[in-house]
Amino acid sequence: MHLKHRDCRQLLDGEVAPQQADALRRHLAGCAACAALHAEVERDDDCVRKGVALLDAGFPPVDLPDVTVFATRARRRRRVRLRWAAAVLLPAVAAAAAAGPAATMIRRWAATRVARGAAPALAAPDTPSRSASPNGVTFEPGAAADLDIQCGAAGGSLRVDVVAGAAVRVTEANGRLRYRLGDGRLMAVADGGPLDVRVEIPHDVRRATLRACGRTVLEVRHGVVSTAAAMVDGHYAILLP
Amino acid sequence: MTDARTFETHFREVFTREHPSLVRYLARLTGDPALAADAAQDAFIRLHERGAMPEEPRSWLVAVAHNRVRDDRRAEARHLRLHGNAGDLPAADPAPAPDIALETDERRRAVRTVLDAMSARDRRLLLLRYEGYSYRELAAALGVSEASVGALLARAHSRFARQYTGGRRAPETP
Repeated sequence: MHLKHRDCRQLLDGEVAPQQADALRRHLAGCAACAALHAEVERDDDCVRKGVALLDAGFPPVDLPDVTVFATRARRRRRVRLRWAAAVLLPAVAAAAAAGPAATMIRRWAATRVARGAAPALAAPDTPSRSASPNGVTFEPGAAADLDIQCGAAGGSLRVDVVAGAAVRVTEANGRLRYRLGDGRLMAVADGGPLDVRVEIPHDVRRATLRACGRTVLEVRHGVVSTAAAMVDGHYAILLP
Repeated sequence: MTDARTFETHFREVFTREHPSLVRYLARLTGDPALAADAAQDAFIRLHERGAMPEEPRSWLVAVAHNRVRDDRRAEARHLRLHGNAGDLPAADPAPAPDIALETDERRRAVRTVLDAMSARDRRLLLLRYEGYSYRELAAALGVSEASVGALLARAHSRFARQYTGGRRAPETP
C-alpha cells in the first residue's frame, strides 16, 4: 500500500502514532515512488515556510501589552452591559409584578430568571462543543452552561428544522418540562431552574439544519457537521468548513 | 473566589504564551499589524469576560479573532462603497524600509498575492500550522474534522507551492 500526500503530510507534522510512523518510514526506505512523493511534500513544506517567513520581515516586533488592561476593559464592558440590562429588565419586571394576578406566568418567568442572579442578555457566552452520540450529532454547551443556543440579546426565533425525528432534548430531566424561547435563547425550565438543552439528530438523517435568528447555526450533511456557530459576546463566530 | 483566582492565573499563563503567537498569525493573515494587534486584544478581552477557560483556548481565541477580522473587513468594504476610494484607510501591507532589498520585497509581495488568492480556509490552515497549531487545534479553530486536516493541509501546501513557483510543479494526488 503506497503512501498518499496526506500520509506524508501527517508524518512530517508528527501527527502519526509512533508505531505507524515507524511502519511508514520503513516503507519509505524501500519504495522509490513513495520516497519521491515524500520528498515533494517536504519541498512544498519548505516553500511555504520560506514564503511565510518573508512576510514577517515587514512586520514590527510584537510587544506584549500589560495583562491588567484586559481585566480592566472586560470589567468596564461588563458594567456597561449590566447597566443596559438593568435599564431594560427592571422596568419590565416591575410592570409585570404590578399587573396583578393575570401576570402570574410572567412573574414566575421573571423569578426563574432573575432569582439566579443573571439577566438573560448577560449570560456568559460559551463555545459549543460537538460530539457524536448514540443518537446522532449532539450540539451542546460546555459543562456549566444552562442553555444551548443563544439568538442574541435582541431576541429572535429558533426552530429545529426539516427533519423528522429531530428532537430538542433536555439532559438530566425528570418530570414535566417547559420549553421557553425568548430573550434570544432556547431553554428548558423545570422546578429546579433552567436545564441543559441539546439538539439531537438521528443517525439516518441525511441532512438537517438548525437555524436561530435567521442564521444557520448547525448544519449536518451525510452525518458530517459542516457549519457550527459559537455565540461570542453578541456575535456569531461562525466556523466555516 | 478561588475559581476567580484560578481563572486569573490561567488567563495570565494563556495570555503570556498565546498573545505573541496570535498577533503574529493575524498579521500574516491580514497583512495589517495594527488590525492584528486589535483583533488579538479583542479576543483576550472576550476571553477574560467569559470568566472560564474554553476546552481549547488557542482555537477559541483564533475563532473569536477571525470574527473580529471579518467584521473589520466588512466595515472597510462598507467604507469603500460609501467613499469610493481607500484614501483614508491604512495600507494592507506596510511600506518597505529603504534598506530592505528590492528582491526580498518583491518576493514578499508574491507570497501575499498567492496567499490572498487561496481560499480563506487554506490560508488559515497554512498559517496556523506554520504557527505550530496541532491538527486537533486546527480542527477546532476552523470547524473541520480532525481526520481531514492532514489531507486539507497537504492540498493547501501543494497549491501554495505550485502558485508560488509559477505552476511548474505537478499537481498533487488526492
